[in-house]
Formats: sequence, structure tokens, C-alpha cells
Amino acid sequence: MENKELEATEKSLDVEENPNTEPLTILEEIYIEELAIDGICGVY
Amino acid sequence: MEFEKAYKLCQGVQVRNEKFGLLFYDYRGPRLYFVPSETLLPSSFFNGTESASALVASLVDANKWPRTQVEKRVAQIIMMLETKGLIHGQSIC
Amino acid sequence: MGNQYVEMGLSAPVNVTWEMTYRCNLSCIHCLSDSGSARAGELTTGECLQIIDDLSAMKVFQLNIGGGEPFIREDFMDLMDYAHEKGMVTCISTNGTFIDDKCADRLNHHLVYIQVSLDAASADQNDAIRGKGSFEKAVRALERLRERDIEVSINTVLTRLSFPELDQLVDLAASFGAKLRVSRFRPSGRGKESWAALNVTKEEMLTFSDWLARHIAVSTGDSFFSVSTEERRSLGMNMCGACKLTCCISPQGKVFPCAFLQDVEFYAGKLPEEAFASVWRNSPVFTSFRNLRVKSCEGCRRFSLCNGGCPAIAYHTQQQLNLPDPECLENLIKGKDDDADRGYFRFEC
Repeated sequence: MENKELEATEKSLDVEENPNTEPLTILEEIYIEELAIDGICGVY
Repeated sequence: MEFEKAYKLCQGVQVRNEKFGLLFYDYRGPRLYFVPSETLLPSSFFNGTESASALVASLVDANKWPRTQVEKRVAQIIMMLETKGLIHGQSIC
Repeated sequence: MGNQYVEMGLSAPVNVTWEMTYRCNLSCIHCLSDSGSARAGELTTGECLQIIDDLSAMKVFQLNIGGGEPFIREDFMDLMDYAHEKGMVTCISTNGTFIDDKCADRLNHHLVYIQVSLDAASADQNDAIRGKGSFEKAVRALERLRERDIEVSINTVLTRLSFPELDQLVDLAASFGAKLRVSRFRPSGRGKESWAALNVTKEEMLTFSDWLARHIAVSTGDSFFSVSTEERRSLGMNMCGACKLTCCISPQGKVFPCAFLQDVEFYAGKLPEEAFASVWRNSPVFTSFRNLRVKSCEGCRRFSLCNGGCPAIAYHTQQQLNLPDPECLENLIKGKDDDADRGYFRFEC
């Protein structure tokens, strides 16, 4: 199945499970932010 | 990533809850990882006693969220954490 | 500025610097804590255990332990074990003089990282700073730790005396399978008296910045971001982490933003009488520190690499926190043609 068809299928299933189609931000794609550290303030 | 598996922290890695989601600390870097997952995955999930599918089921039951979206997002996060070497999957006996 | 999640405010520090005693068997001339004899009110074993419980409950990931000399505490190993039971990493800074075979055996643990202090690659130069016989004892400690494959680094404070020995220190560390960490000299403790004589010149600091860019494997403990170049951008923090990612606990349980700001105006609270969570979240000193901005630096092209530099150095050299770090790369380059001035730098904003 093409990606667009898959997305459309998912959306129609979602509507059946949950008629409230307001976007749920908690379920949006996330990005992990990284921070290299080395002691943080460098004494010990 | 397999939904029937549980996921544990790799050695050298710690995690805690923050208001944005999860903060991982990997001493092998050392490196911090800020995961803006909000309340989706509690840090206790990484004790390795609960499968990903059980977590999804509890999120759907508690919040009435669409199952496919929840599965997609949980899978995405677990795959990212696995790729970064922070967690590893294990079977639950 | 900085990381958005850090700026949001973390529920706890990532690590805590904990100076566990003022006692020390050495008298290093640059000691940031002015260590030597015990002082009244040093924490008891019971109080230390309470503090470990408190930090563990907040999920502090790591303790950076120093002093004085932490191994001089008779209960130190037990305190270390207790921190490990709670899942905390312990990064222990030591002069190495107490690390005999029995001690080294006990340090063989996956949550232990040891940092042995050495300020030169030769006994003559090192002992001039740290005391007669200190080099040999530190080397013996490194040998014992290496025999056991214990994760170890050598920590060197950058001074006029250690500066010419940096390449040899890299080799020395490599010979022990250790990392080299060069940390910044700050005018606190005995460092205040020795600052003028020992601090590197502007030229030396510029050379050091270039040297760091060519030695990516050398770490700095996040203390040299004011002179870090693009090559090192991804290696560590580029801003002060005090009160945002870390803070300091003194041997008497007093809480401060960092180990270099233990003056009375930076006192934030007292453990274990006060809950650490309350100090971390509610201390006016910490709130003020989190809102600190070095406005005069914000227009600088290097601002994202340095964020104004180290507030502790600004404070100790200019009596204010929110002024530029006098040893920032931009000012060092601008002031290169000025008269050489070791100690208190002239700077331009």
C-alpha cells in the first residue's frame, strides 16, 4: 500500500475509534535533544 | 522494536521524569538526552517489567486516545532510544 | 540561549559537587577550598547518609566528590557504597595518597570514576605546587587503578607552571590509559593569593585555546567554554550550569551555586536540616542565578559558544556576576596588543 493510502486508512480508523478528531499534541512526532556534558563546571 | 518486549536501561544509563517528559543521562558520554514525551512514557516503564503493548493498552484505556496513534508514537520513541544505545529490549518471562 | 529544556527548569540537578571535608594532607598553593584542617560543623556520617537519601529521592544522577581530600574521611568508603546502592555514579577527585591496594580493590565498581590530581608531568614541577612527594604517590595510585581497569582521569589545573607541560601530561595520562582533564584556575580559596603569580598570561591562554582545538580528546570539565573554538562546540557545555544543572554542597552541608562561589552572599540553604528539593526549587539565590544575563555579551559573534563565560571568574575579578568573563577569546584577541598583564585582565565590552 502507498504511504498516502496507509495514512488515509489510519485516519479513518482513528475517526471510528475516537470521533473527536482534535489533534493530540502529546501524540505528535517528537525530537530528542542531546547535550554533551563533562562535569558541568569542571572541578571534580 | 517489538511491542511484546519490555525495555530496560543499558548499563551506564539513568532516567527520570521531568515536566517535558524524560531526561536520560548516559555516563558513557557523558551525555544528556531530553525526550519531550510529556506523560506518554513514565520512567518506571524502563524497569523492564511491563511490555510496550501493555503500556499502549493502559494509555488507550486511561485517555481514550486512538490506539494506532499511540502505538506509532510509543514505537517511535522506543526505536529512537534503542538506536541511541540507551535502552534494550528483553522478553518478559 | 542554551537548551530549551534546561531553561524550563529541571526538577533536580544532573550532578552535585559535594566537598566532603576541609581536611587534607596536602597544601596545594592554588586550592580552591583553602583546605587543610577540619572546620567546626563538618557533616557527620548520619547527616551525610541523610543527604544521600535526599539527593537520591530527587534522582540526582551523579555525585562529583572532592574536598579537601575525601579519602581522609574514615567513613568515606561507606558513604560511597551507600551512594552506589542508591544507583548514583560517584566521580571522586583525589590526590591519590590514600589509594593503597585495599582501597583500590574497593574502588573497582562500575559506578566509580576516579580523578587523580597532578599539576605537572614531572615531580619537580608538580611538587612545587602540590607538596613534596605528592607526584610519586599520585603515580602509584594511578598504577594501582590501572591494574584494576578502574576508569580514571588525571586532572590538571591550568597555571603558568602546568602550561609548558601540557603535551607531556597528555603522554603521561595515555601511559596509564587515563583521560587528561585540564581545569580552569579560579581565584577562590588559596587561589586568590596565588592568582597573580600563577594565572596564565593572555598569550598563554590564546595558545591554550588553540591547543585545545587540536587535542579533542582532552577534556575540560566544561570549564573553558569562554575560549572554546568551533572544533569543540559539540564536546561539552557552552554555558554555566550552576543552579540549572548542578550546584555545590560544602563540608558543612551548606548549599551554593558552585564550588567557586561559596562566599556568604551565595549561601542558598543548609542540609540536611532543609530539604534539598526546597533549596533547589525555592532559594532566592538560585532563582537569581537562573535569571543571570550578561547583556554586554549578547551582541558578540561568539555568544552562542560562550554565553558570557564563567560568572565565578567575573565575580572574583570584577566583583559582579553579570559581567563578561575577562578571559573570553574575543577579548583576549582584541587585547592582544595591550601590555601583558597576568592576573587581572583589562577587557573591552
